[in-house]
Amino acid sequence: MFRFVALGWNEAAAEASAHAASLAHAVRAIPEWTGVLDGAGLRVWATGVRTGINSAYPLPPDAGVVLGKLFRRRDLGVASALDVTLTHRESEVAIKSSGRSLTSDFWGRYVAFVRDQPGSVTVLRDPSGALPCHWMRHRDVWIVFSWFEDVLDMWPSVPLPDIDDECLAAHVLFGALGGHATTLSGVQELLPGERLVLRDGDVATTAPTWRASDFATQPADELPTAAAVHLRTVVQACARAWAASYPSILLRLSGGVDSSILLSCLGREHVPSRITCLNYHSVGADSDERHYARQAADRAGRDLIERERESGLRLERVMDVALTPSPGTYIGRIGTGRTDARIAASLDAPALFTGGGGDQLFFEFLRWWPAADYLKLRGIDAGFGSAVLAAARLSRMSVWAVLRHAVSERFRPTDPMDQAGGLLTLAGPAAHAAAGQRARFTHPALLNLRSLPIGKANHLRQLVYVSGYYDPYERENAPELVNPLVSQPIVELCLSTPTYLLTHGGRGRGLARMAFASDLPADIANRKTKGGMEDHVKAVLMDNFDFARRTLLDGELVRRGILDRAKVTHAFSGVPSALASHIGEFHVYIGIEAWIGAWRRRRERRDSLAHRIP
Amino acid sequence: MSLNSAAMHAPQRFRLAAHVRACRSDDQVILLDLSRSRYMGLGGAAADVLATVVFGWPAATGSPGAQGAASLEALTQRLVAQGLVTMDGPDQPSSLRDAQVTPASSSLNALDACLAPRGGVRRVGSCLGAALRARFRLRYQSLHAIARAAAMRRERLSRSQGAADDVPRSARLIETVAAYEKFRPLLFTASDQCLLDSLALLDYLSTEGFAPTWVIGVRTRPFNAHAWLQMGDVVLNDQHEHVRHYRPILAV
Repeated sequence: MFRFVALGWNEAAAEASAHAASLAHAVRAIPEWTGVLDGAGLRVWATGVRTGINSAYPLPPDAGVVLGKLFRRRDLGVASALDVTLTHRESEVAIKSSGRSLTSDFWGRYVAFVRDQPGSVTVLRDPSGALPCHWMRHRDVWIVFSWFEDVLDMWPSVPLPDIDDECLAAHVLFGALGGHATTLSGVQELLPGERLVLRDGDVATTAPTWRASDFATQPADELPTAAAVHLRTVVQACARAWAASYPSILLRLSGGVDSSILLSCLGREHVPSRITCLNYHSVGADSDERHYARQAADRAGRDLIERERESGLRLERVMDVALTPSPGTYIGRIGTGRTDARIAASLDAPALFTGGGGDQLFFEFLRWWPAADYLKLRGIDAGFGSAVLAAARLSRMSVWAVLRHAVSERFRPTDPMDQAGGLLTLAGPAAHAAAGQRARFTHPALLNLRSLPIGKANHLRQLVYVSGYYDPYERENAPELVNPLVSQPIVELCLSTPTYLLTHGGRGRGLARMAFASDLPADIANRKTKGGMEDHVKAVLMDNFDFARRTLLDGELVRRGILDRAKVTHAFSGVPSALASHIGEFHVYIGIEAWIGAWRRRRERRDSLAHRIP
Repeated sequence: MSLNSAAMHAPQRFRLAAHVRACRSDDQVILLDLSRSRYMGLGGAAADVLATVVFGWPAATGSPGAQGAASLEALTQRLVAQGLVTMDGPDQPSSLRDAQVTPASSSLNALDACLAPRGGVRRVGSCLGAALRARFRLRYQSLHAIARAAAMRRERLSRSQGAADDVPRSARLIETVAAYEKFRPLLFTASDQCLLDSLALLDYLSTEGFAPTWVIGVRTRPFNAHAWLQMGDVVLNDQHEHVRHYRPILAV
């Protein structure tokens, strides 16, 4: 498990320097951690470093370090140029630009630390956001880290932050928090594509280094065939670059379009790595896609392992979760996380590849928006009629309804954030009270979307959130999660591709389907549904009904008024109209209660330690 | 799947009314009152034990829980008062015979399979007429009346043509449905209008000599109802993975 911690302080302040030295001493005592930068006012350590996979790229002389995986932009598609060593010139430029040149000249999965001038440290998180990065302040020292439990384990003297009630309520209301705040007081998240400047030991400011909107506002209006070739080229290049970094890969092959596209890029003739596909199935209407997975694996010439999702799962297991700055969700891992880890270990595969992010990236939104985007970008020209018809086919609306919406949107644009929201069915007064704080919890990139066409605005809205890199349940046992489809070059390309192109032919992911039509089995290329785990997720809840009821009714969310006790009581009453909420909502709340439980256990451990040490 | 199957543990004094259909979903029994186009759900022990006294009530999967005689009687009488259940009597032939529904295992995806269906004024007119008739029926008729009319139409077609045109995935069926899908956007919105879409397509296909099965299904937690057309195991106007979430409660 690749992780980092860093300390930043004002080297001119004696007290801060002494404090930093004391914290550094604690890290040096842990053999698994390696110092990768030891400079004035900045020290960085990493663990889990593995050459070619997760490296420390120094920016000499002791001016900084880039942690993670770098690919050079100009080498995209060049098979031989995969292992990067920063040249002297590249390092110089990175330092002079405070790390900004990394986002234009490189891509990958990284966090960079740069000492561009005395008294100032810049931390930069790559636009994909694959590697987490948070920061907090302990007295006069800044602590920057990727995995919060390291901070707690290394430095017992660092107080455990309190739970921020307002942020917790907002998490329920809006879903995952989009701004810098986390549900732990004083712990902030550096957003993907942002830089954090720590100055003089006590000033911390953030600013974007990379803006998704810069690409979204520069539509590249190619012909569909050219756009498809372009997309295919970039996707293949990125997928192959990632795959070539690992000698052995476990690839989650659902049988859906995205994971099949990913696999189609990784044929043996292009990628010598050993790739083993893994398909999960369970009882349910949409939970068995083995038929599709087999076709995709056969076509790619890769082995396929088929496994049933764990049935009879006890939800008590999810209560054993690592403490992260904000609660995560276990839904995507239900019944599979442990098996992923075991199979990956048996194959000596350090990475788990998935097609995650493909729906959002390639635009699987069955709405009328592409017609509105066309009207805004190109007006009523010869192609507008086709755009309306395609949007009608995509959304299953009439052409008249699509036309009405498109024209209305053109002259009275709506705010895409009006439709944004989280879980509301069981929300209590404390959750709704957070509604007035929306701006605080909204990703900065989404604060002003009105200039964008509605389809592109919603496209961007879906792409600013990243999936978790670490598995808070399997922890170090879990293989490294890699989602090649959300690589920076692909994201930039799709952001700059108009939605009416992305939905070419009036189909969700139409351009991607067209681009990979010759690589995919026809059944998969034309699939209109996705597999899911709906029945499995429902079965897990029903099998753990009493536990779920107790956990929520006796839990902190109800106690704090974030969930409404009466609504929760009714939801578990067994009355047919009860449990009207989406089943996933219950699992999200249970996940939050598990996170609160993890925080409480840490607090109890800290308190008992404090009592023992006079 | 056979609808309205029930285990008869004891002589049953009641039966489901002719205009009511029932199915079991999760641990609940869902009733569809076709005359009022309304759904009702019953859960718990009551839903299970009613199978012992009501002919046509979906059987419980396990042993029915305990239910006092007085409360069972009261519940049954309430259902009688609402017209959902009637006293049992000589077996009355239903005016609406339910079709057998084969579990859906594939989707027609007609417009993907046939990119250029034949158009023409006649076809567009056919689609338009079917859409208008479907809209009229939904506005002014009960589901019961609509279902009876659909069943009679199907019977007439079967008598006049036999089963020749009821082969799922025949080239003519694909082309005919593709034409509907091509023209439908000119006529009405199908999103969230599954009943209208299914009835319009059913009507249109009947003018072309096809007699698919019209299915209404339900799911619970949360409750939702959905309508679609099937021919054999092939779903004509939806995706089979989607309709498999629903338990058929009516098939015509």
